[in-house]
Amino acid sequence: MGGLYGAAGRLVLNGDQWLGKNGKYYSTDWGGNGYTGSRAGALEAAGMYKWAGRATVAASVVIGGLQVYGGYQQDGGQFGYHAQTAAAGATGGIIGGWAGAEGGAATGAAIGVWFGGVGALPGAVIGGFIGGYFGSQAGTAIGSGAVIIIMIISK
Amino acid sequence: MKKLEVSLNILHYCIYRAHYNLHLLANKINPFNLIHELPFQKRRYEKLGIDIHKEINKAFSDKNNGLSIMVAGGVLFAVLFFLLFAITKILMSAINNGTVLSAGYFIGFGLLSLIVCYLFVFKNDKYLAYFKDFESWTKNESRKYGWISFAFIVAVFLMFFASLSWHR
Repeated sequence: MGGLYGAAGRLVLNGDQWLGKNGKYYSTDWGGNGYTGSRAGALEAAGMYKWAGRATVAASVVIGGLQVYGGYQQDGGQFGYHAQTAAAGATGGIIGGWAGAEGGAATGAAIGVWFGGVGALPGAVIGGFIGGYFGSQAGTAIGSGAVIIIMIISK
Repeated sequence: MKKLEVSLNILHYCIYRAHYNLHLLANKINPFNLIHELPFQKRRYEKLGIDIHKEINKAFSDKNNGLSIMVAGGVLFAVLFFLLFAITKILMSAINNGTVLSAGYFIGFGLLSLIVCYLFVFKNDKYLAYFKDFESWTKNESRKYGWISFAFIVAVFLMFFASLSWHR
């Protein structure tokens, strides 16, 4: 999810260019007009996306950690089944989300160049989102599943 | 206060660099990059006059709105959150054995972490000026601060796990 916001921020403000309401990029030296919208508005939107991206990344890590703490409480003050499953799930989710976003961004950028306008970047946005989301879900499932399997085998 | 600000900005910069370097490393083993080697894709990139790898790298490295800077901000917040969590849990356990931290504490840690990050790093993109300074680091300095930041993050998470079972 964080990848989506970051990429969206880059869409609005791409290097020395900002995205107008008409879907075209303009130099940051120019302030905009009624047709393109204002440069200040684009800068503000990019800043909001950056904050949303930071918040999503922070929430993913913090929630993962708090789930470990919750699992630890559920296990009666032991690092038992619930805590281990939560820890492995959180770790798997972070790694899976990162790997999924990397794969998704590469794929999305490749698809995006076939569509008009800015091309590669919107593709990376969509690809990064889909890849990051499914990567995170798969990573969580794999991490938690691995603990369950290890526990079954070790019994 | 100034020391805290510099330290937080060093940590933020090192996380940003680590994430971007991880992306560059992932480029070498990312099987999805093989798509860019397909002849029709290559022809398309040539027609558009773009280097697709550079485009994707730019999306990560941009210090204003890139993916790595956003991840660095999120991770910095999370590190501070867990540092506050661990310190509070250890202190409270020392006073009152078996303390369970409730949602109110988590909100407090979140708010405090956010205020610290905002005032010392994020406000008016203060970190950009620090980044300029840090980019002139020598290789040795860069390595030294990188390892210190890594050790600090590992220590915070170890402290967090240790605090879970901390009893008087």
